[in-house]
Amino acid sequence: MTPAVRYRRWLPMAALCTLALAGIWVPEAAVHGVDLDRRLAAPSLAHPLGTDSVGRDVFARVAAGGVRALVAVALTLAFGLVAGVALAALWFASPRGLRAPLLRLCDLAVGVPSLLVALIVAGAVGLSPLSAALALAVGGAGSVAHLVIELGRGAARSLPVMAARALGGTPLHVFRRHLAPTLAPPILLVQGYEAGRVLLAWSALTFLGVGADTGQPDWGAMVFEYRMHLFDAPLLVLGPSAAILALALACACVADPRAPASTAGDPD
Amino acid sequence: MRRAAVWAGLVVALTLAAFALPRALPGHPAETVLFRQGVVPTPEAVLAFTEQAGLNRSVPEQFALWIRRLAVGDWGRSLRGGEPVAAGLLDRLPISLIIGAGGLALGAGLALVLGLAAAAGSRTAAVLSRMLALLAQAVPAFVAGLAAILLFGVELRWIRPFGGGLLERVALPTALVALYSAGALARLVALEARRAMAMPFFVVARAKGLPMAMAVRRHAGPFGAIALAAALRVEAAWVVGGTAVVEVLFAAPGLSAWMVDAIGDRDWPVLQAYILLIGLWLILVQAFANAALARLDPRRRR
Repeated sequence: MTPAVRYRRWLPMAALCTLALAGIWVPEAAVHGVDLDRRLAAPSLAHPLGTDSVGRDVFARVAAGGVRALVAVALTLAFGLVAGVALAALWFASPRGLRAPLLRLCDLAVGVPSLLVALIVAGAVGLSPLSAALALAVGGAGSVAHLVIELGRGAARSLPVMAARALGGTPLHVFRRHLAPTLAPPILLVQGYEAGRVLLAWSALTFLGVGADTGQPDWGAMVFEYRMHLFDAPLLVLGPSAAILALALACACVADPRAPASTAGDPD
Repeated sequence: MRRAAVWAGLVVALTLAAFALPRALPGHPAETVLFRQGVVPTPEAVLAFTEQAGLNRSVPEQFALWIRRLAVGDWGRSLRGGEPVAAGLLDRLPISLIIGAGGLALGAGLALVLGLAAAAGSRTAAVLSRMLALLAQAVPAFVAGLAAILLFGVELRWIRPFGGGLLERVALPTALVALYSAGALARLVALEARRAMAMPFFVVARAKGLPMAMAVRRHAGPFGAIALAAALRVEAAWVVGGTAVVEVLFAAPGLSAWMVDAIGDRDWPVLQAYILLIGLWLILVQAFANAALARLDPRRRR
């Protein structure tokens, strides 16, 4: 497998990130600039997706919403990964009696309805990529911990790790050279799936709008706000919807099960 | 005996969480509710409100009172209108239950049928379950819901999603929850059924001359059903959020919209009731899945 093929599954994600990051350079006026003289304008070169009911540029809003969505997804995955690995480390470090309750705690984290927790957190402190990530990461932390514990138990008993320890390798050395390379690929694969799930949850949160700042150009909020214009200006709904779809598919591409990271065959 | 103790512990932890979580939100209901009612929150007004709502008692006292009343079916009163929470629940619970539990049951049934058909070699079933899984993974439920309103409510005019009777109002949301959970579950069923089909007893069944469809149903089906029951426990948590989204989209007067308002108003009794119900729902699905697993899987009966 050549590197070009290995990185190809990152292409859609890279393209979308570039497009969304272009949203950072969109002048603030275009995102929030109200211009009642050009309400519901048809698509043009100046406004590729037209303008909304108060004359804001829809493309600029979709791009700006994309940056917030990417931040929310990245933060959620990062929190889940750190908390999950910490939980797993705690499990490995704890005596036998404490291990079962810790596993039950991970089960509980996986079973908690994350959207509901996120709604309550958003109601308490307001909806932002940070607050949403803190709540949505709970489930991810549980599943990462499970995965690391499961894989780590196997890896700790594997021949190379035992050999490295017998040769006097420090724990850091064993972790860096033997454990991390074994554990990383499956965890990253799961994170790819998780990214799509988190993106949909973030969209749902912004759609429901609990504790949200209604001026923020989030994709879910845009669909909620523009759904009245489904007939007179369908692009207003289609733009953010297509953006969610494209980013979710890009996440699915990254987590493609046929990629070399997984040896399991595709069932269908 | 031990299992009963675990369930009892879970329920106790649940009531504690349901009581504590709303109180952990910043802000006191006195401010939000008085503001909503257009009353200036002077110290006297706040004092009168907290006294009337029984919030001036100590926290353990409030908890004990809540539990004592719950035991006799009194869920307390909403802080906003003073209406009994039990009456509000009775109005809204059936709608949420049809959409959530009904949708999950429909989705599980569909997954079993699709998954086994795909395992038996049906291309259509395999492609369909794959597309449903992709839909759930890439399209937000509210976008699919808008498309469904557009198609069935506006273009075809089969149903009136916002008017009409109870059935018409909940038909689309229930179908959405079912379709969203069916895809991934169907692929899981197919995967497990195929694993069973590689085992010797299945080869024997086929060699006896059992037709493929019947052999799959009889000998690979239980394996698919076991995997399905195990996966239901995780899916139940998703259904809570999914139901909230479709209820808001279709303006169905279920529990979720009530809860969303209650968070904003810090309506503690309503939030307590909602969290308690969601927790009970998760515990019930867990218990149901465990019972189904025990029934389906003879290896667990020892």
